Amino acid sequence: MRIDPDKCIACGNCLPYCPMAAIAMIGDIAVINEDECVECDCCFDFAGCPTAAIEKVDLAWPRILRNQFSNPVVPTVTSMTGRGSEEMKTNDVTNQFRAGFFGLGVELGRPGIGVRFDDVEKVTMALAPHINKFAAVNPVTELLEDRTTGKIRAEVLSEKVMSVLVEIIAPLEKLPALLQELAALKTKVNTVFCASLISRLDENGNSPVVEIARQWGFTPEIRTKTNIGMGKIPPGYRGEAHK
Amino acid sequence: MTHSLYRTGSYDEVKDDFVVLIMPGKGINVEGSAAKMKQFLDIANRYAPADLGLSLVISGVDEIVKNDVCKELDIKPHTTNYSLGIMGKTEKLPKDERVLAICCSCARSWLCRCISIPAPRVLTGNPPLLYRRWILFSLYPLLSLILNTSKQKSFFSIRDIPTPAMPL
Repeated sequence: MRIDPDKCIACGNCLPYCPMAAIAMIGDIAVINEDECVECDCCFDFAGCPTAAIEKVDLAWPRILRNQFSNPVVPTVTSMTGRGSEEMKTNDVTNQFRAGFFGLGVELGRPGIGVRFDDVEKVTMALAPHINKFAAVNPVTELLEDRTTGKIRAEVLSEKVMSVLVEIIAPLEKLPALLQELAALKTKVNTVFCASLISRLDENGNSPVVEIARQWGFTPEIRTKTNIGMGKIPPGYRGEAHK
Repeated sequence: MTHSLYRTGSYDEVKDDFVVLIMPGKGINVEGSAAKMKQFLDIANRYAPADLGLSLVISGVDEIVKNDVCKELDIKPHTTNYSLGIMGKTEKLPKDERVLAICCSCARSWLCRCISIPAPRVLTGNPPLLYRRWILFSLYPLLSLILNTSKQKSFFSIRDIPTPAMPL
């Protein structure tokens, strides 16, 4: 994104529309800090520049990742919009998370803060030795140079985006080790992150991950997200998904 | 994930917060799901339950969702996502709880305080126009409703939050 200095009339209207505070008045024109801009398109789409001075520029690799991870309607390399997979939202038909396994989602960055991929790599490399796999259909997984070490392609490490989601699946016995890695990451990353645990429920609606998390010093929030099992697999479906 | 992760608070503060999300599994039951979304909206308008065969996710206080909702309707919950909270450089977070709640990551900054979207429409499940267009024209329809009428008033002045002190 750029602001045409010949068109800018210094009205300043665009400044509050930037979620990353990357637009500033320098002299008598508004200027975008390219290093901080995450190419979310908010200024272009919503600020309503009276002279149409805000212009999109063609984004080359790897900068185009900023746009893919920061504008919710731009498809990522997974051909899906959004930063993550369907995760547990459709687990009643995909059965990605089975009994005896759990999912861990680590969401880094948020509007106003953002995240660079060198911080994302700290997470992927910390988790990789303990897990079964990084989630498929996840744009971060697609950026991994080595899925066994969690190393991310070097050329993208300095790119900044609004937020990303790292998703993994692992056997339940690996949960304590992963929680210890998570605790250590609190002081290693230069942004905010959230973590969530995904688990199938037993007959009584309970999950083993809650007690394990408490044992290792984490307190799950009282709010949860629950797939209530209304999904149905169509008759004749021949894929791998099953209840 | 964000619709639970960024809504922290005490039981009393969040007991009336519910997010409902309906979506198909890619490659499994996507076909015809857009029509089902429309059907859901028609049914919801009449306040009647719907069984469309699409995955339905409810975000809310765990014991309320499982005890008051699922048990009441004789539904066996399938899978739960537990939030472990916000970590890392939390000093960078916006100080105003309303900004934290509205400017979530799921919609990036589309539901941003900087954007002229009247908050009550967001909070009562009437998505802003652009979001509605996204639903209607997507090949992969997803319906998300955020329900809490009691918070409308407190969030209504979201645009009054001082903006120059960026970042959020």
